[in-house]
Amino acid sequence: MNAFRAAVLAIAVFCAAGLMIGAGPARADIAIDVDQANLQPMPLAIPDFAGSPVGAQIAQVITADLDGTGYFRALAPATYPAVALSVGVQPPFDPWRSVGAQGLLVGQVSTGADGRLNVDFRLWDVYAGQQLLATRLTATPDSWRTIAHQIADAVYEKLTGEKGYFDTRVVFVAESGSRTRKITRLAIMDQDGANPSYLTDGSTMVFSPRFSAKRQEITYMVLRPTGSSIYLKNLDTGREEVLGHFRGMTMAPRFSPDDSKVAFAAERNGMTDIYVMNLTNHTTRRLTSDLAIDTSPSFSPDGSQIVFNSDRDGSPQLYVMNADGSDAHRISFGSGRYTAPVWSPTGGLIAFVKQQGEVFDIGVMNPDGSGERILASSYFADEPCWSPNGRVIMFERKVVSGPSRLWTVDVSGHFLRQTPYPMAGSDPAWSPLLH
Amino acid sequence: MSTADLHGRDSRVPALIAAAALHAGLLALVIFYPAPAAMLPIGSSVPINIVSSAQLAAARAAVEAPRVQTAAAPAPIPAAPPQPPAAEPAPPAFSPAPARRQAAAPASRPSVQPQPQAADHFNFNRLLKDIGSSRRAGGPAASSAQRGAARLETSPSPRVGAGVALTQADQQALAGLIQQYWHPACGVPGAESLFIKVAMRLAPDGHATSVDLGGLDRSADPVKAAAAIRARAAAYAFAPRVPSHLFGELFTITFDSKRACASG
Repeated sequence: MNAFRAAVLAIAVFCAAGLMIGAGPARADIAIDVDQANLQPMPLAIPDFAGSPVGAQIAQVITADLDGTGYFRALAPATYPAVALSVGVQPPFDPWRSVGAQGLLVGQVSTGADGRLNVDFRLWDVYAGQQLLATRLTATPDSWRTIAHQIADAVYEKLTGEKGYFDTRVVFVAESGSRTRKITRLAIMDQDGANPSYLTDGSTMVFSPRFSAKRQEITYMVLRPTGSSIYLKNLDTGREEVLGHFRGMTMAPRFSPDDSKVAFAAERNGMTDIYVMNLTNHTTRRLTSDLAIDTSPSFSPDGSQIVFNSDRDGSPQLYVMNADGSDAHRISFGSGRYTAPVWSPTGGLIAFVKQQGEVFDIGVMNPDGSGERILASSYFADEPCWSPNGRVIMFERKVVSGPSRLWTVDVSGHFLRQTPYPMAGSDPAWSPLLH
Repeated sequence: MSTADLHGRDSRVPALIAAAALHAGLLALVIFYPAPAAMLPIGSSVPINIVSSAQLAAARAAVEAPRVQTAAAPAPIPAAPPQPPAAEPAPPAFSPAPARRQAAAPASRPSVQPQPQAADHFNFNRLLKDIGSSRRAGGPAASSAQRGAARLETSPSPRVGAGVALTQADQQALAGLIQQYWHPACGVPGAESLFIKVAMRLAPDGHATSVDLGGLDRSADPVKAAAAIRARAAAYAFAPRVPSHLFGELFTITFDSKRACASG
């Protein structure tokens, strides 16, 4: 018996050893650390949406939106492979891989029985061969641009993780007339310059429109011989109310992040200081009180702090204080004059204008003043404002002498471009997302 | 014609010239005067266009409509099981693999894999040259066999998997291949400090059988999910370029967004 057990044991050991030998060395994965990247924009293919002539226009708007972000590069349609696409069928991926597309947006336009436009789209990860988005948008036919912007927002968010900014509007001051008889009108347009229209008739001088952080509501300032007034206007209803009349000049009213307050600068008794008005009871509180000129207040996204501009140290510089006016401290120390600070919606940066000699720069810095970067230099630049996701800054700019135009630059400073709005404009303010 | 008439005609000439000049001036004014800016519509309110949305049903697989997919395509889609795409951007032209590598391959694995592409032999030196990596010291050595023991000394932890040894330079070369397809969203808050680990298994024929992101692509944090999607795309794009002697292996790829974005 013992001999039998010994034999079985020997066979078992032999088999186990054989199995181990057969298995070879212990398998280990191949580890690769990738700490460099292709920092060029991700290549996307956005063929014309099928089903309607408006499909090509939708694709063009999406392409223009995504191309301007710096994150995406729409491939030239001439490079597209000649393959049939249908929104209901998984596309063949190899032809798209061969042209270098990492993402493929396929869309289809149809008209419903009620006359409304149905736009189906799918975003495909070309290399993984997987679907990333699949959505139908429905709206009236005249809303095709809005649909296109919303698709661009969806693609942007899926592939970056942050909200887009394409289905938004910009309110600004449209300028016309001669230099001595300038006519200013409050105007509004889509962020890409489409659908411009006036909100005022030009009979009064308007300045400093500012969007609410959450609502389709703006503040702006009207200057008359008797003084200045701050207005609050709801863009959906057209309802307008006067927040206050001031004998002297008021400047740059700006909402708090929760829309409960408006901060502004006002001149009283020869001194220009910063005030905050409670929009519920219209009570006003003074936050700064010194002989210097304090202007351009802008809340931090959490509402706890305000960045502003002051010449209290001899030249215009940027300062940050608590929202109650305490602990004001200087954050800009570079050479030049710093003005028009605006806190980004994400809180990480403050945009500003810097004048050095005859050059005007648009720049950004961290809220503690560190990390200053110049994004664009111009003959003249002023009034930066942020897109709602903090990715792009719009501002007024003169390349040479002449009327101001509206320009955008992304926070990397790589993508500087003039908005398609064809006329003179200044003082832009960006709306929150419309959807 | 009397002298008086002549004098009379002479006296009208300046007036005629002046009249002509006046008309010409008026005409020029009409032509060249800047047209007033086009007036935009004025409205007191700006209504929002209402757009409703709904999820689409799943797309049919491409094979369900083979005629539509293949009829117009210049390069027919292979109906066979997935293979490394034949029409990828030109990979580096690999020279025959070094002898040591082939000798080191386990007996259970075929020494020559049937491959759809001819250019799948691995030459790290050529590869490094192609991708323009500047991190490697360089030199004429084309394989770890030629480098011999010196390579092991410079590679503190050579990877051994199923008989495949990769030096640090080899790993860097592979990393250089992947990075061509990795587009991190530098500048997006939160995206610049992510480490994304991707586990990718290659089948014996070289195609990626699985790419595991540990669920990061389904993260509730959209920034992490988007970063995972971008890393996954890079891994899939890399798979067809893996040299054949590494087919069947499990790759663990770590994408370091912090260093990658800082380098830009």
